[in-house]
Amino acid sequence: MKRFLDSFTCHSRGSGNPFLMLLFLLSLKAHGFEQYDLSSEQYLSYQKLTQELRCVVCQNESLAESNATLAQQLRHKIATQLQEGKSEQEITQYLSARFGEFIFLQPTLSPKNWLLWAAPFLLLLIGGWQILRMSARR
Amino acid sequence: MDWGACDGLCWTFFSVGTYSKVIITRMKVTLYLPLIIFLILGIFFFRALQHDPKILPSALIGQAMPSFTLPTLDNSKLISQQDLPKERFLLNVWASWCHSCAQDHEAINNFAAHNNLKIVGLNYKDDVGSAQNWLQQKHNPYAMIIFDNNGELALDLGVYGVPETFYVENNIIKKRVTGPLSADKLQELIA
Repeated sequence: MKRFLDSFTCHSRGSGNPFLMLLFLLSLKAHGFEQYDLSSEQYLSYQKLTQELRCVVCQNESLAESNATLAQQLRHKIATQLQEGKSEQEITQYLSARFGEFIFLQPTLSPKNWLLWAAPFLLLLIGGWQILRMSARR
Repeated sequence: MDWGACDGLCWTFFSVGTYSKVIITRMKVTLYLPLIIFLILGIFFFRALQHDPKILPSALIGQAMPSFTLPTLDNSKLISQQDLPKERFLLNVWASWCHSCAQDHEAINNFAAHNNLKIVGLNYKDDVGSAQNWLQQKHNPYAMIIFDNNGELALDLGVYGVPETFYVENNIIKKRVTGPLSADKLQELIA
């Protein structure tokens, strides 16, 4: 599987090494992360969206971090849709209709995964109930 | 047991005995509960190990083919979704710069030799010259090739890597396979 994904270039962020980080910053400059003509409001939406949406190629990177060509294309799409006056919600709908739920770095609550969201609280309740029961028995 | 002889004290012993039995079976269940939970979790985790998180389900299954107007690879005409084969066809996304497309293409060629199912190529962000060279070297099994230079149609199809192959029936997307095809994957795709 790796073989087919490597056809896209993924630049992962440098580790803690300051030299690597500097290199990363330089490469940012060299690649020239695109500049779009956006109003300050649109720019805030742009930043929010690109940070919340996943680059589906380099899976644990957001669109804002990723240098994959697909991420570049999606950033461009987001910027142009913002310029056209589309709302954040319309844009996330547009993208999730194509790439699915997975595009959200933060999964949404849906009937499929509510148990997963509720599991910590359920476990806490069960645990608390057990402790109460045990202490009552003594 | 001779119940006729059991009265008073005997009943007391009997019921205490039954009750303690209940307590013991209860304790056994609680004793094994962590093991049971562990096994259930184990099954989940083991299944997760076999699951490749890089393979994403397509969001377009059951949806109509997105509309498009794009040139063919030889730039002889513009085609749209109406020009696609009517009943069933495969839509194969490929590019000459993609390494694993060679393996994918071999499987497609083998398939085309033994099947009359139409195969539509979607050439993705490619150079026309190198794409045409590539086809000359490796044989061209496609009924038509859409040239998607900017990846517009690919974006509408939710393509996130090349190669990818869709199976379309009556203009509805039925299945998708990501990564290079094999004979098995192709059979599964059209099943």
